Amino acid sequence: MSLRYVGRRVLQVLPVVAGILLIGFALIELAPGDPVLALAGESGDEAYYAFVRERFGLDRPLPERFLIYAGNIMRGDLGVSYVQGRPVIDVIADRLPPTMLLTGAALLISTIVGISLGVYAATRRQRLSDIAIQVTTLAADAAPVFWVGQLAILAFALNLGLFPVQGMADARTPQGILAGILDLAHHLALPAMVLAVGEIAVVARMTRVGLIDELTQDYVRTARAKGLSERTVVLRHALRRALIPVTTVIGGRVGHLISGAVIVETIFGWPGLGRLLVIAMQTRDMPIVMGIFLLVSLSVVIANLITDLIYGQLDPRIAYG
Amino acid sequence: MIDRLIRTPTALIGLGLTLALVAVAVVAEQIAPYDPLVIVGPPLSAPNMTFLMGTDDLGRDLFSGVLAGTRTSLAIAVGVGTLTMLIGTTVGLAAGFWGGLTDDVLMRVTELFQVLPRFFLAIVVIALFGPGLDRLIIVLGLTSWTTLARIVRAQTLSIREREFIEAARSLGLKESRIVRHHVLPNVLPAALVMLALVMGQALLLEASLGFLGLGDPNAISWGFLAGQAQRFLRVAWWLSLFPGLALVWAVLAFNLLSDGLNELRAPRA
Repeated sequence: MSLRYVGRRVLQVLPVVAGILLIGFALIELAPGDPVLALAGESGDEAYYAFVRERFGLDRPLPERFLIYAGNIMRGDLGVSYVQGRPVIDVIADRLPPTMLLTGAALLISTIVGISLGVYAATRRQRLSDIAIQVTTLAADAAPVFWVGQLAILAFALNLGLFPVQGMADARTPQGILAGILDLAHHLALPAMVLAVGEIAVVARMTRVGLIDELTQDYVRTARAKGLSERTVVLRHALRRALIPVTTVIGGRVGHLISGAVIVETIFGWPGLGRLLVIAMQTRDMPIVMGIFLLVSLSVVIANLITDLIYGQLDPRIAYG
Repeated sequence: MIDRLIRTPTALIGLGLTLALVAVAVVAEQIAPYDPLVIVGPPLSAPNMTFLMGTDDLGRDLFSGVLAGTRTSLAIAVGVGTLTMLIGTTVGLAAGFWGGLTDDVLMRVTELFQVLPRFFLAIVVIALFGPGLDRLIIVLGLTSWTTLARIVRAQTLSIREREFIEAARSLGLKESRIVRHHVLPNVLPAALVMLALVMGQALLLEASLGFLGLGDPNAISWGFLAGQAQRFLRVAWWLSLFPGLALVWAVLAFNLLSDGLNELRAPRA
């Protein structure tokens, strides 16, 4: 991967970020009513409205307003949550760690379990276990995350009592760091698995198809003819190449994963960005809603960038095209 | 064609499930035993012969609610699907056929729309413009066409070089006519494979919004019903089971239809 490729790929981010800001701005301008409501939320505080009008230059011409808007956001100024009376960026930063923990755990689970299932199915092609995995992943891919979550709570939390139903920590947990970590893991397990289900399905299907395709290639026949064990042929040779497109799929689904996290947080009372977003919608705290949209968009752009760079690293054939 | 369809079980099952979905949506009002908004029985009664899927916390019939939800889901799928098809094929054909600057500009725009998180964009739109099926269809339709456009573009690029296009050109046919009559029919099958997938995803997105209570307040949707069920999870499992099951059926229908169309288009050796 050449430095030129990295440079050009990083530069591509700029117009996309500008486009996202433009869409955010256009929506605020197009919304019915005074744009100050969209920027400040419906607090009814006239003094604050006047302040926001001044800050965003709402009496200036349209292009100038956009530049002011984009400038404010690029400096990390996403406005003030009128409900909490604090800068949006601080409110979001407080809620970010639980969501990152949840999505990170789900990403890890889905990558490991998804690839394992895909390999297992591909090496047992058309046998009962392969067909079972195919049918299950097909259904899991079609299942809405809230349904998976509700069924998981019914089965594993309410019925079997294996996991807590709600929250991130138990108030009665004994003191100590280790006890605290174990308690957190116990609360994290079920929501993380629920969030991972849909991703596992996609990763498993991609891995299976890719590996089956690789296993028909000439180099695999050569490796087998050399007398390498089937395990080495599959894991060392074929899987390595089959995983290249899977990387793209995993990276490309970050937006989907965060959307799922909003639902999972709602179901499990997980105190992250999703909960914040749902409450902001109820209290019409517009700066928070907009701030989360911009933050998630930026995360997706960065995730895609990282994925492309990893892809370029994994696949030496990639030149810039 | 019928012959090949019968030998492609995925397509057959997908088509069957989709047709069943459409049929239920058409006759939903006629076969619903009750008005889904009216109290007709004891609250929170488990499924029985009178109330096939049980009743909710007010005593409204869930089966009638699920039937009504079919219409909302189908409206979303058809609305988003139509917009996706129109925008996706237009962008893909133009970018692939004319290339050059047109291609560059359209592909940059496609990249932008591809990274937009649709779920969060829809929430912003609902926050600014209020909830409603119409704006949901518009926002999802305007943001779901990117992959379809890329596929159509790739297909167009390969078809553009084929001999019959050159023949049409040498006959002096207008370019717009060549695109419509010679390129479009050839890219359509690949576009339809993607379209079915997009429709299934749109159903899931609408359901997630409905679950959060952000759906159209005037339309019963499966997501909304599942959202209402959340509070009664401990006492009324049926309230969350059936709306979700209906959704799995519908999304599976579109996903299988897509897989099946793909197999029909390029049969596996």
